[in-house]
Amino acid sequence: MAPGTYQALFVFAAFSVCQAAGIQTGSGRLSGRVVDNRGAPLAGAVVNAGCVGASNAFRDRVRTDAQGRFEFANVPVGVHTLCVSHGDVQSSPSRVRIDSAGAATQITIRLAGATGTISGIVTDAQGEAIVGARVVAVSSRNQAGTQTWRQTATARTDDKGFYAIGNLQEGDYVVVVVPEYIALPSEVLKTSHPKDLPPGLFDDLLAAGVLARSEIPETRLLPFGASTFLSARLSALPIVIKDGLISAFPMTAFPVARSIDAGAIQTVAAGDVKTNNDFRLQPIRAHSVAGKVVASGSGAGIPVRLMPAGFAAVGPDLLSLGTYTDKDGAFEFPLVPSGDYLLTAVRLPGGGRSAGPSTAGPVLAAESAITVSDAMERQVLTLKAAARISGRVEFSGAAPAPSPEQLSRISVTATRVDGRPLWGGTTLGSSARVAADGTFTTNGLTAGAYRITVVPPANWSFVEARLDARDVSDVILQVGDEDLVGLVVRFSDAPTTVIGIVRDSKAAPQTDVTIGIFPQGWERGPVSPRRLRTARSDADGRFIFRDLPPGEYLIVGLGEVPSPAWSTPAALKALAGRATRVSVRQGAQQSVDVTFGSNR
Amino acid sequence: MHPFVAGSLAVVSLLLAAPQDGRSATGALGAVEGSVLLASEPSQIVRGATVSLLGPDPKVVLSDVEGRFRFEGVQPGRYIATAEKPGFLLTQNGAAAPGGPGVSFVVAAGSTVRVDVRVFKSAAIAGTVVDDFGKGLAGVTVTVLRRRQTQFGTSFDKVGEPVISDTTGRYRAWGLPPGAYVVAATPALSMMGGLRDSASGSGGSAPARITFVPTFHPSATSADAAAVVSLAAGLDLGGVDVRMSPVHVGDLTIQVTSAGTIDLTTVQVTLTPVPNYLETSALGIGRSLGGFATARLNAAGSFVIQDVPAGRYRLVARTPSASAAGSTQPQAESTRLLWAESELSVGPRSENLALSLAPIGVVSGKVVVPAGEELGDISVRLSSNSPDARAFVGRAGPTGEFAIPNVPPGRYRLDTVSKWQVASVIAGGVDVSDRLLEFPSDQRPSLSVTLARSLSSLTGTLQPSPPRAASDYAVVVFPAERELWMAPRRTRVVRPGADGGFDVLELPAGTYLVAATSDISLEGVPDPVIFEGLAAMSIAIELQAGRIQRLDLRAIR
Repeated sequence: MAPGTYQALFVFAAFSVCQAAGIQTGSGRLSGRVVDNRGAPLAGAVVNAGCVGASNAFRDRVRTDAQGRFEFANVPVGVHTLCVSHGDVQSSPSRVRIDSAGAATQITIRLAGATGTISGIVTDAQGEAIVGARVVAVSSRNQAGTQTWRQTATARTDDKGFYAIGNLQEGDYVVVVVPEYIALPSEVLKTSHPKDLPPGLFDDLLAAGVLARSEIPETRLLPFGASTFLSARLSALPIVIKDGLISAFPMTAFPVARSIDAGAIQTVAAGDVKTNNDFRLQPIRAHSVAGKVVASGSGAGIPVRLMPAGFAAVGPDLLSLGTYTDKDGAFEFPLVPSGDYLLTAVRLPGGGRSAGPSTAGPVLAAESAITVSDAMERQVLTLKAAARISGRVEFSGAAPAPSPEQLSRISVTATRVDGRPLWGGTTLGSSARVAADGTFTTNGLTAGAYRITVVPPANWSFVEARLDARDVSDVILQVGDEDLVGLVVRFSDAPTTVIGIVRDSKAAPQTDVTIGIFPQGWERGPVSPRRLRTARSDADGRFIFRDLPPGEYLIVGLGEVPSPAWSTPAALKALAGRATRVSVRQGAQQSVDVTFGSNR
Repeated sequence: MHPFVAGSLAVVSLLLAAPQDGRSATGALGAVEGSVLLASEPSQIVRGATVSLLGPDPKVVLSDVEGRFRFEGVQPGRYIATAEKPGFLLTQNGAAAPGGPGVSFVVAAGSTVRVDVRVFKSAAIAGTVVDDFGKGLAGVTVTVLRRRQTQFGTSFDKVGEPVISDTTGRYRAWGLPPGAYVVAATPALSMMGGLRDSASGSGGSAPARITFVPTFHPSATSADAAAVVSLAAGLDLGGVDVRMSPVHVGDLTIQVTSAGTIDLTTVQVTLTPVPNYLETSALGIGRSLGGFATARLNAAGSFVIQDVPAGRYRLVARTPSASAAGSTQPQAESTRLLWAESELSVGPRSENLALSLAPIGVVSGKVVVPAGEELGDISVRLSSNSPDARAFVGRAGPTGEFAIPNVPPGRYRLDTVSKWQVASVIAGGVDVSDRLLEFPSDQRPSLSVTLARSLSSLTGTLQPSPPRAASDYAVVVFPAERELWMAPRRTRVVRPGADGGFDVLELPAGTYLVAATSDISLEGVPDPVIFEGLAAMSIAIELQAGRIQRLDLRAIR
């Protein structure tokens, strides 16, 4: 385990520079105090000068005294960075200037926990602690009306059922208890320990997060009926047996929700400790989900996954139940809590774990929405080739066309917008590289809504991605069973940029300020991530946005440490009032200055 | 003194038996059922425990909401049942302590055996990590180490995964078996490396240079000086705080010389704290050394390691080789290493140390495999007594010859990587198997390692002294020779079944003492104190290579 997880970062630096009599040594004195989040002196903090920047910068480290004081003598004239830490709580760098030889500069640096913690207890229906359960904090973000869920941090309950998920950035979270087990056909396993599993299967379990490397020595395989479970010794199987009938704990969002959007949202601010997020898990009757994968060629050894439908939008990180087909293509999930699920099966080209290049062959996938109940019929999943998007790249301008090597660095990616992983796997999107003849093909897209993103070659700007005379780079693209062909991705040597300087009310340039830009009319529909961006001002206050799609935008200063929630609908409404309009035109440079921090 | 009570023993019969043929033929099947209960409160059931049946027909089930389990279709034979669950310790049926021996039972065709498993709760240690100002330290890695006696002496072994202190400096480590523990806190990276101390240096003197080092509860800088906390099963012990105070740093100047002409810039110098139970070779010294406390010398063979925390270290200088010391790769004999090693103390002032490189020895010998077997792929391994577990490996050639080059002076345990067991290791005409091999200088004996398909076994019955039952006793087998008492392969504790039967399998040949005791918990075996007490009421038995010895015991009272 890493010796410490670095917490970010909160600094309030107050500068007061006073000139001392001119001793011409070329260096000055830098002193100050470190205070905690209540403003009290922080003894024993480490102040690290030269923590960021060139290796030839002035470097020294000093520990504060009982009054929180520190001093660096003989600091060369110029700009220096200071970072403060106590334990593994770290500040972001503060910039400080020694103006001239003999100057004495003072600084007060505030070190406060910038992250929050969510904690609670997980018990079963009888109130007994569930030990070793995996508890996940899922961040909830709403960007201009588009809701996304992502797993951000995870913890395990201790022997009292207690969990604490720390180091959470400011933001909204839903806490989810994730029952973990994997069922495998017994015939797959002639072993009692996961390290003896077939290598591909073992790697799959690691990749799927079913198994962490540190847990392997503690993990064993439990035969159970016709199937085998894999269970870490530190975590209990989420199964309850009563009178011979088997119930299981379902994936549960705090407090008792069976879907991510029905979970209670916790808003975490810097330094928050949100306690008593207690779960009392109710086991529900579990049923067997069995069936067969039909494929051309062998249906054996195909991964089959089952994801609670209410949590599918969290994407690949939240664990789904997984198994593999046997030699006849049959599979079984012996103990599935009743409810709605997505059942997926996939065969990747060459038996790999990624779609790979389209030349390797098609991705064969099947997906089915099922309801698990008493009367389960056998499921039949028929694998068929997932769709591809193919096309070519075009370059306009006077610059020489990219070499094949430069072409190969261009990527064209199709990403699902609903957050569901492709074919129940671990990726949200499928990327293609551009071949020497300028063509590309993305592989393995299951039916659904996608966005296209493009990484241009150096010195070229992405202009558009045109399909059937329509620019699809900025809209949601529906992919069905059929391949999409003829996507033309265009690049130009004339960059489209928005540049400017952040100034305070006295017109002084402001460094390290985050600038946000968003399209006018964002409230009318889903906004492409290309149009919702941030940039940061440099030492001279300058900022730049590259390759924004043409249109009308609003630009606004967000601050030194902007909230991750700056782009929620409510926040955008508030920002619109003090934002500056800017028109972006293809191939042109717009200049706009932003005023921020008039009270500084 | 260990509190044991033992019945006196009389040997009823003692005879050499021919090796038995395997298990009985498969006939009708039996069943095993019972409940998982809490050992400290047997009225309390344990639900959802993983129950394993160990024996000729191993099986696994989960206990139900009433704590009950049942194994169907069990082949007849002798079995032990175990149960475990997160928060509890793996316990055998009938065991008086979590790691203690259980009571075997016999499943007969067509019968159902009733067996309860009483599991023990795991223990926990909690506390706060603070600095010298009393402020809680976040992000400190806390490691729990269990103190044990081994053949090499006292050792401290990590138990479980390290935990990280929270924003207030609190930590809690759980899932611990009973035992003697020390608790170590390893500073966050930002606390390591040389720092100036603002609290010193007033009145014109230069501020002291300090750093933080791994610190043991309550505030010791070595495991040997740490306070030992004793955990009973299920104990939830709080207040095991660690106070981390900065220590002074000094600079260490190393001068390395060599008899031969070698490029001294290729010499690697490694500085490791002793004892190094936490494998924290860096200790922040690495800041000046590119991440690890490893340095390269200049052409004149000297180097300065800056900001070394005050303390005791082992310094090793050696020429590089393709297969470095400590690797498990077989080493080519041609790459002879030049080596120098020294222990030293570093204080707040600068230290100077001179080391002279010299070639180190080759351990060679021959492996003899059981008659009629192919040699195959066999390696001989020497493991050192240092807690960083240096191991040196040599692969046997087609005729069984092996050579392990570059084995530094020290004490080693020999084992092999093969499908057979070590029957004997002959050095200078004496069997040294399971003994520590001491290589004090460049002299290395030639070793003859004989492998066997199986070793000796002991089988027998214990006739109890009423009202006790046979399963109320433990049978302890340990070497007659005191020097081998801590050899793991040669000491065993077994519990006779209800029928009095017991088996002790795969013991190396030699003279053993056998004792039966009604103190069935026997925590901490092998323990010289326990063996001392048992020796007086034991009987000696000679086990011959590859034979099964029969021993029937009768408890007199």
